[in-house]
Amino acid sequence: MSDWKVDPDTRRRLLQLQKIGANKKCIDCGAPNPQWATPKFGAFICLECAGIHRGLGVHISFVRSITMDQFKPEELLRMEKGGNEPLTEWFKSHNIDLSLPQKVKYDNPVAEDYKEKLTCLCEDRVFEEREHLDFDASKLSATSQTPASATPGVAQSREGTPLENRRSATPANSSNGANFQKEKNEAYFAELGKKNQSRPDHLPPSQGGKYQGFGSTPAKPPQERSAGSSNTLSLENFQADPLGTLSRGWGLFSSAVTKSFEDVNETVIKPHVQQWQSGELSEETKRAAAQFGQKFQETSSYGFQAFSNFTKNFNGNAEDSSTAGNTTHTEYQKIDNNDKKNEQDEDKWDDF
Amino acid sequence: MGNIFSSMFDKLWGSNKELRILILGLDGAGKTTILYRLQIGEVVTTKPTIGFNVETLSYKNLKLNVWDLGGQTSIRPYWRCYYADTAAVIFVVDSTDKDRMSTASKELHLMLQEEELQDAALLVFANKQDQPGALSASEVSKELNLVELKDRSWSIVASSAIKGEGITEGLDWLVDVIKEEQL
Repeated sequence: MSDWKVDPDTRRRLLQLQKIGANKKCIDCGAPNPQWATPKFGAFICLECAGIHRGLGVHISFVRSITMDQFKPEELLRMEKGGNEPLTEWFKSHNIDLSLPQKVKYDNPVAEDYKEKLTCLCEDRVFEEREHLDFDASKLSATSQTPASATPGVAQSREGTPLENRRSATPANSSNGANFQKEKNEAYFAELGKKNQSRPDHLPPSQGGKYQGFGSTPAKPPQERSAGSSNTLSLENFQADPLGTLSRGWGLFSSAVTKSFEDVNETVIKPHVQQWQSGELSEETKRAAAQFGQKFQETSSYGFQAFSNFTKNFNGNAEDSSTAGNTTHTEYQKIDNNDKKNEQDEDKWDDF
Repeated sequence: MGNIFSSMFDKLWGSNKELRILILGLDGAGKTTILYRLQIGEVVTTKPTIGFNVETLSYKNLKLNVWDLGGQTSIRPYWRCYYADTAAVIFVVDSTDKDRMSTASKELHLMLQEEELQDAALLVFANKQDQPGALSASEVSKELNLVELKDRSWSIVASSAIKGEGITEGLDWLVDVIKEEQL
């Protein structure tokens, strides 16, 4: 707990340093009275620029608040030995344009050398400047990529919309806006999720792999649960004996249908649609699909308008699916989406 | 159709309870970026959070009040002012910040000892996966000693708030757990 405290001596020392010469202004934008620092460069920066420095990654610049963070002794030493003036001089003498965006200005061999120089200064070692034959500071531009930054896409995507702009642009209180926003968000996240599904498991995300997780509870509890609590309606059963499994009861089915629909779609419907398309039309499959729909309609006598719509769709499609496999497939997807929205409601029906 | 039904059922069963979710983590881990990624689906340019940001968002028929608290060393003690009635904690870790993994671990376990958070689910985002050299979710999990957690639903998900990746996967898990355990 004690490490939440900021040592008052350190803070006093930093505030003193910040009042000396060029330290009085943010090294990047010149804003007065900077309260933040990047100890790696031994420089003082303002709050706005601190935000930008944090986005560069901790291997380039690591941001501390001079009033709210505890500096390590070596970090304080870097601030003492460094300062805004020596860094500015270093950039100038190496032809680095001071008005360059931070992403370019601090992520290049010259900036890297300065950190090494400052380390040497702090550790009383002699700094030997290296040659960078393949590096030409004058070619750095606001949009250029430095050799040190590996992936071009990342640099640009780390820039974002300023928070203030979007605040005024989003009507937070209008319910219309909120609903629209909600739908937009859900569509957006669904899309992202889909994209992620198609990525390979074995690569780290930075190389195009899948974003994955794990924990104490399975990452996909709904499917697992439906398989565990309703043994009669597992996907294996469903595939082996679709009618038998379905006729075991509406209650079970309705609770599991939304949860396993995606899988059913993947494992049962899709292959069948493909079969229909490929012309190897099995009479039994067709019959099963038609009855599947029928069963659906019978049980919808629970009286929910929504569901009879649903089954009409379903039945209609099942019947003409032999001629139009393609449309059936898209129709199923639509139903699937609808069902997702109703997922919560479906759960309630169980209690009914 | 979905909207009509959900509002009908919400009236009948009152499932529109507001849930409090905290986003915590060391400074610069990406808490604010994740909050606004969730709320507006965009990347915002953030500044270090002094105090907190709070936004309400609806996700899968739940109304979430998401609090993003500043992570600077000396304002971390104030996290506990927000612990009461918290359904879940989202703990964000900068997966590239290897030097401060132990600090993150210490803060995490200290926080989880708090009485008021005993029933809260824990979602950890191993964030900044877009950066080369980021530790994987399992490496971060090891650094944070997550397997030591007992009697708590937890999950760790690799994410990139900047690219919007992994966030959905994590939130889906969290919402399912909350529905199962707390509603």
